[in-house]
Amino acid sequence: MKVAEILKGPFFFPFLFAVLILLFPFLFSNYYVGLAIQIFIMAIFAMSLDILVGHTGLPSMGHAAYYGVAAYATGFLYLAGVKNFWLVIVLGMGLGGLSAAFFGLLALRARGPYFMLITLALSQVLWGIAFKWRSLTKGDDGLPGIGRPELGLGIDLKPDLYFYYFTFALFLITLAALFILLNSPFGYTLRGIRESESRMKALGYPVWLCKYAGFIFAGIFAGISGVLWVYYSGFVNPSYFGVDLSVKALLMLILGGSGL
Amino acid sequence: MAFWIIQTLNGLSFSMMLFLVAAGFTLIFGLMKIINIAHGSFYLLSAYIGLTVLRATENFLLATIASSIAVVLVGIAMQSLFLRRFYMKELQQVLLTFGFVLIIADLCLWIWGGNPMALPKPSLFRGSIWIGNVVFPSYRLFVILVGVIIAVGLWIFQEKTKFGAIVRAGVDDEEMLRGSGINIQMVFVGVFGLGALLAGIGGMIGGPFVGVFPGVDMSMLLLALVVVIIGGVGSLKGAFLGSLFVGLTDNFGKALFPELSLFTLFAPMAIVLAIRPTGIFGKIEE
Amino acid sequence: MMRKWLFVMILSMFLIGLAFGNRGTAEAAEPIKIGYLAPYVGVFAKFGSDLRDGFKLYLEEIGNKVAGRQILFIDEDDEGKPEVGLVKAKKLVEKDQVHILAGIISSGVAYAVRDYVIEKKIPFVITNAGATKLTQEQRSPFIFRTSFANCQQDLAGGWYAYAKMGARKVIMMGSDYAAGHEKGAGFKKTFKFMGGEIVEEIYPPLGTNDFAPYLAKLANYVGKVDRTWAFFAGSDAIRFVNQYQEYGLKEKLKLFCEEGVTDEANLPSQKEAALGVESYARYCIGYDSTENKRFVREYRKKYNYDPGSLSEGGYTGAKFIVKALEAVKGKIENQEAFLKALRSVKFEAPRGPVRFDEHQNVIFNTFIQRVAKKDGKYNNIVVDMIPDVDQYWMPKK
Repeated sequence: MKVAEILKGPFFFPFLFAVLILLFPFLFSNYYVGLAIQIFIMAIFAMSLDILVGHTGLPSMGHAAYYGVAAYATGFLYLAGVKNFWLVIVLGMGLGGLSAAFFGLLALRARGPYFMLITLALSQVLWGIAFKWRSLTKGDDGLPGIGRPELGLGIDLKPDLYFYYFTFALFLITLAALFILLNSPFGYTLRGIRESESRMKALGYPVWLCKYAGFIFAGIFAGISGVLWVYYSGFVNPSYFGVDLSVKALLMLILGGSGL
Repeated sequence: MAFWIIQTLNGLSFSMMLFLVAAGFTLIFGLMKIINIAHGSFYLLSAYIGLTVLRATENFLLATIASSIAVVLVGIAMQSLFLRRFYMKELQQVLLTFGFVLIIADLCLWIWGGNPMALPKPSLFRGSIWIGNVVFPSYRLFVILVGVIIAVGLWIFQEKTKFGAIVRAGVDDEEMLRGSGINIQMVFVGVFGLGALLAGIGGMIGGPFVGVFPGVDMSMLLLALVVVIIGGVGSLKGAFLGSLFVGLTDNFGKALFPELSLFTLFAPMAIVLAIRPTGIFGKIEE
Repeated sequence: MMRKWLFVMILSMFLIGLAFGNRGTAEAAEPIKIGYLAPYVGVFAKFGSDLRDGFKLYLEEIGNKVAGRQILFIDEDDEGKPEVGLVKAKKLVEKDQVHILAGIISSGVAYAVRDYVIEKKIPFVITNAGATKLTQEQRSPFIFRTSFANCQQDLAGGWYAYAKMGARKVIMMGSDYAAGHEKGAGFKKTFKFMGGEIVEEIYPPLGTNDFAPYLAKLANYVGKVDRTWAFFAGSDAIRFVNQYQEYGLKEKLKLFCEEGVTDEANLPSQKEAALGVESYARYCIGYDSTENKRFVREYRKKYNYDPGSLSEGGYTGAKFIVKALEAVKGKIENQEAFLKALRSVKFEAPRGPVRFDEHQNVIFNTFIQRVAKKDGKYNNIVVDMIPDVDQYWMPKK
């Protein structure tokens, strides 16, 4: 009876898609499963950007910065022998947030197009460093040979099939987390700032602090996608800081509709 | 001693080419608040078109004129047909320019192929001259000359002509400009076209020593970005000084600390960002 | 309600059709698919097309068939970028279901793709990328290389510079990426072994347009150093050689390069600036063997331009693969046998006799060549030859 109720109600399509997603790997070849994994990870990345663009009204053009930082961290850790997923994801999120905290201090001094310019420039700085500091990052050749992490739960993530469900699960968790965050009073504050900063200030809200917090949250969630992508593709290089990646995320938001 | 002279001249020639690209970029940003990601594409397109005309006619001047006209037309089309629809919506405009980047880049790839090419120099400047006991290509001196002439020309334009005054006013305070009854759209189109023209000339000038290849559009854009951030948005003076700084730093950085050459470019930029986000000569926001 | 069910039904039919139609029709007498990765954009673009042209020339010579099976050549652009190469390799292996992966020019791309290829157990025949570790520390039974290792000819070159050219002090300039450093290391190894001194090493970034700052540094060494060793590839090499002359260094500080710098692919753009420049190479168009003369003739006829070392590289690579396929009568599905056969292939290539060493890297003769002008055209001619150079070659002191 429960199933029939679901089928009739507004959850029909989400339910349908959930079923499709669960069955997907059995219907399609590994190549498409790989694509689906990429879609999930990019979705997390785009959603993290939406905190800034859609909800706070801050058009960041350098979002790949936090993604890249977490990605490189994942790479370095793996090559140093650290493969425990839980440890790495926390570090990735932490580093994403930390770099956002640092860049936020610089970027939030500006508004509108100047903000865009600065965020773009900052991510390019990271790109330049990754590209040139060959002794550390191997430059454009990047760090190949990064395998799947260890969950410590006895599940082997090597086959794309398992990684697919794993990524999907993380996608759902992130979705839920963002949903909670953005529907909380904090989320409303952000949207208020998007509508009118001066009004929010007049009402007594700590506007700069809220923007800063939003910035950091965006960095944290971007970090998740950075970690996952490296585990999926097995490779990191400076392109992970690239402006095309940042712009792609913006395009995803525009196409899909931001501020949801 | 010769080493320093050569490096300085090298840096200056690079700076001048940078200035051409950055000047247009800063004007467009300063007046219309558009981050024209496609600015590098003007360079790319102009260099390729120039190359084709040059191969056909062997006349550098003609090639420059032809490529400049082409690029200006593209720029005017971009602004009047597409960008103006998103007036005051900076994010959409930026994304639109990115779309143009992709279209132009792919078009060029399709027509001219993926192989990097270098424009042949104008026959007048093919040789090298002696400076002390070292040899230096005369073409680069030509580049410095062109850069300085154009810089002076732009200065005259900005300070002494009516249009220049309008542009300066617009960069300062756009609302007032609109209020004063001037057709703001014409101004925008004009500036955008001017920016494209400058970048296009930059493409022809830079073509012989930087070359033209898929990807040069983004490298030029990045450099212009650094120049504008350091020098200040909307300011030609800032663009000139910023270009000098970037060109010389880049050159000496490569010569003295090859390991860190990109870093020597970005570090000053990051410092300027931390201290004065709108650049040294930029306008203070709000 | 009905509409929802209808929608579900149609959607499922569509998806099932797509899914099972997607399973592929893998049956016998299906073509042998060779997946091929090369850059057609960027610094190596010309090399990419040379390599492919050489590869395809051989395939055409045998009528695109071996042991009765069609050969399907599937070509993808890796743009010379490791991240793109990895993506395209996945596409070739997973979507196109290729049996063999071949090609690759950039060592960076080769390294990025290595783990993936081994994991998927795909025979990987590198027809250019010299990434040394791939046939040394990181070798695998699946990885073969028919071109050269980054250090192979360079080892011979280092010895030659000291022993035959009389150089004692050298300044080195190379492209700042995997190949540049590895080749430099090879040259340095034998040169220092013989007693020579490397005065300085400079590595401009890959894709440098303007060598001015670096060349000005070189000017300081005129008269203090015997030779400049140089390695640049593709369009970088063209600019380097041209600018080397522009800055007056050509006469005053002679170059001794790796073959990529004055390869036939670059000479039409370098012309005068390259005249007289000497290099060490795995292939010289001027090599006087019957096989090479025939190859050059056929290549010119078909493509209307001169073959360079990349062209020969593609050609020889294809021949290695086909000879192995012939040995197993086209049954590429029997991978063990194919790999075994590939290991023992040897034949007379345009560059001379070739075969694999124990680590599945090719052994060949190294030429010393010089750019000469004849009838208004610039080509490399043979000056000397060092036989049987493998990736571990060391001179006898």
